[in-house]
Amino acid sequence: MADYVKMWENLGMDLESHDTLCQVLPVAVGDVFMSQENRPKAMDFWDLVISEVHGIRPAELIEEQKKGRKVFGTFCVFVPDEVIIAADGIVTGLCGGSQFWVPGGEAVLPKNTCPLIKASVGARLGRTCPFFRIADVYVGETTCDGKKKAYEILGQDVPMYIMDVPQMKRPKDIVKWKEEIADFALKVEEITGNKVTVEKLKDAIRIINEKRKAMKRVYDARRSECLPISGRDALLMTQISFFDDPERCAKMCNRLADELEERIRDGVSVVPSGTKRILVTGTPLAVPNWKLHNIIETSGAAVVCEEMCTGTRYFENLVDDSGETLDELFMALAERYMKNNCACFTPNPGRIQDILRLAKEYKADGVIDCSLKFCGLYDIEKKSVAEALKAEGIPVLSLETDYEDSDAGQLRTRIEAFVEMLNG
Amino acid sequence: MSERYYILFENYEQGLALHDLLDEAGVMNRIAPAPSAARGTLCCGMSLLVGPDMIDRAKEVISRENAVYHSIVSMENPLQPMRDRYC
Repeated sequence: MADYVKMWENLGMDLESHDTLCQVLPVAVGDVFMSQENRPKAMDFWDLVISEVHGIRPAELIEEQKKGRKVFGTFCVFVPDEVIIAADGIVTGLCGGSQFWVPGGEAVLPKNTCPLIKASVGARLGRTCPFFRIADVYVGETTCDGKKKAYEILGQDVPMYIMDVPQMKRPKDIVKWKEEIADFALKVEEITGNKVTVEKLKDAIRIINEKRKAMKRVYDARRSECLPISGRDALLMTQISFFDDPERCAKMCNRLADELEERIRDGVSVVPSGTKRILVTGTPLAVPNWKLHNIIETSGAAVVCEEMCTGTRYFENLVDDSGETLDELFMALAERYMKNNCACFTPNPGRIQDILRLAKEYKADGVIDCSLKFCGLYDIEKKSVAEALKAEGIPVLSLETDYEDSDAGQLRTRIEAFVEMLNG
Repeated sequence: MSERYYILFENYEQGLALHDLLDEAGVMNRIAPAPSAARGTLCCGMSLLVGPDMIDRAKEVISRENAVYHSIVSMENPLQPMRDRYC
């Protein structure tokens, strides 16, 4: 343990503030995860990671940096991990999911900025998250106005590279994204000192595809009427997958999927038969944001799927690795990533199609569409999402929240009423 | 029963070693963050959470295997899923 303190000191962290954060985490993890009965044994891995969240993985990253490898911090599922891995770089997710970091963000951003952005900026400037300290370079993207402006502020404190995500999905936009990926590869080569070759990019595509397949296996198990894992546990797995080593992530997800499939065969469910099944859609739930899932699952329902960046959007669709030139592989990456139906696109009918499809595939009894406060993109899409679900006869509850605990009671009341309505 | 026991360690390698031993002996335990109120001078880190019905068996395994640990602390009612206190 003493080694961690030394490591945090060397990272220039504010140890006193960090200790305050450390005091909150065990309570939340205990209440949200340890209070559950009959959790899959394979969740041990993620329990360990979250218990040592600022210890084990940061120490691994630092060891790799000592060998000359570079760490790229990312904020969005549009940044192609494959390119970084092909150049022997390491990817770590950086999105802030804690209220603890919000005041630090509000010191430099307007209060009416979404909490995910404020927390991400606060985590860097407050020097209380090792991942934000370790990353050699941050890779941002243009998926919302708030992030674009926040990256300007972060760029004053840390090297920053921005990828320009198209806002439409015409063929020329996909070509533009391919060119953006090619430019990014040049930057990654410059930072790492390593060439992105066809062979290395193919290998990286296979690594990330295997991770996607493994995560999908876990999600597929959640389609079963016999629900072998809670939404809270599945969410934790997804959240941690953003900053874990991708090959270890695939291995652990496959191990979990093995157990879940066995549970289904044996009829082992984490909820009583007849428990209402909820599909959650909306803004991402960055670690350690577990509020929504915990309230839903302690209100008599179960979360069976997340249509969001910390959910199906992260692993659906594989990259075609059959290309024989970098240009072909970059195009394959562009085609895969542009299938992501983020609310930043206009028009964005694909997201509604995804929600309707997933609601059927996961046998959802209802949908909860939840956005973070001040996220205009997802807030505006709520109307069209609700209309489409209503037309299909699928009940929907639209919510807005942030990272504070203060609205938990109100959320609980609304969610309990929704579940009661589903129970008829 | 609302009482739970946390087995604390100097490092996670010690914790994982005992976790495996307890699993092999069929003693139910879960990896959990060490509660701040219990960890004293220890930093953020893992502990093993054991229920009151298993703690005596866990102690037997520790004694038999000479397992390394820092301390065992009991806490009343540490898990409240509807407390709504998040990070």
